[in-house]
Amino acid sequence: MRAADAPPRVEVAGTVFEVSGLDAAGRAWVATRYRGFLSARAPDVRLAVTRYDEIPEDDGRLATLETHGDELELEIGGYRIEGNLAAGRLRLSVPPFPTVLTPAAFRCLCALVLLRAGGIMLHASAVVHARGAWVFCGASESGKTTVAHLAGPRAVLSDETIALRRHDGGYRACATPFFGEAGPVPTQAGGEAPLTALFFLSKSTRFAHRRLARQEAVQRAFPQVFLPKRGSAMAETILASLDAVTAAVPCFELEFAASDELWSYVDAVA
Amino acid sequence: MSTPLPDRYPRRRQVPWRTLDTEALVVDVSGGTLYPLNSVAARIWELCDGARSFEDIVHVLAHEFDAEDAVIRRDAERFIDELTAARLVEIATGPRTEGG
Repeated sequence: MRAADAPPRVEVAGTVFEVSGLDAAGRAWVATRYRGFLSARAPDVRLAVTRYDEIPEDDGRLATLETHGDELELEIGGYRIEGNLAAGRLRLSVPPFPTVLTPAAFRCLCALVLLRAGGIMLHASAVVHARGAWVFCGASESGKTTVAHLAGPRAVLSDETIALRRHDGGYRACATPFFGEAGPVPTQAGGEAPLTALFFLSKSTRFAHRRLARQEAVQRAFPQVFLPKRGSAMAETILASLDAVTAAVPCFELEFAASDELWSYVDAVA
Repeated sequence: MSTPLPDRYPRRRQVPWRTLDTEALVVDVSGGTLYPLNSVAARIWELCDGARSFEDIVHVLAHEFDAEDAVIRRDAERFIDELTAARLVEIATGPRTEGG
């Protein structure tokens, strides 16, 4: 089989997803959209794609996610993923759109796989420094992309979505292919660094910070987790994961001005 | 005429919550809202186990926290009212059953 004919494999935070059942256009779309995150490693999760013909109605729902043990049913924007996560075999039903593996659906799947491994996927940007990675978390307009733009020569893992995966009793901040206004950043699947601190951002005209107690840090992080939280079991697992992250690294509230002073300020804090 | 059994306040089983140090977070999954609880509120939440009555809860708090009984009673009553209004705990009467 020629490489161009092989099912593409996409690696996010150490998990390799193989996407089979695509035509040439679909494979090309995946290869382009997830450039930098394609992998030659053996797949952990196999996604078998089936197209259906009806254009889905936009019913305004963000996403529905049902999990029963290892069984998963995820529906978002007309894309449906179902199957057994433990077995690593899932079916992906896609509407008749050019996009095959829409980032919204794929991000939700990645977030769920990561959560099952004790990690968490956050609405955050991250910048690598000499000792690891600072993660900057916050809602839209809080300054995540601004931080990424200010990074200069420092590596940016994402300006929008960061995966925190467990590693050696701590966490590593991992690049993801889910970007924001900054567009794709020059990272790849292996782009990761030890998590050294978690900041909750707000734009300002000055620099100020405050160390957060774990309760407040978890409270702020919870809305920034990329998963539907309407199920009690899901919410419990998210709380447990955030509890562990906030116990592992210091968390701060950070007001920042859009200037290069950000880096000396943050370096002095954490 | 028999004396009515005191109300008990079982937490709703489907409400996720977690203690963090001495504080706690309770999730209202219907709206995705988090309720942060300070140490006293977190203790009241823990004590809403469906087995304890209001008087039992006040008794425990009075032993564990340095405050006047009247203040503890007033604060506990207010907080439990808030929890019931938010449908995070229920009001149970009658004999205690297995698991509250």
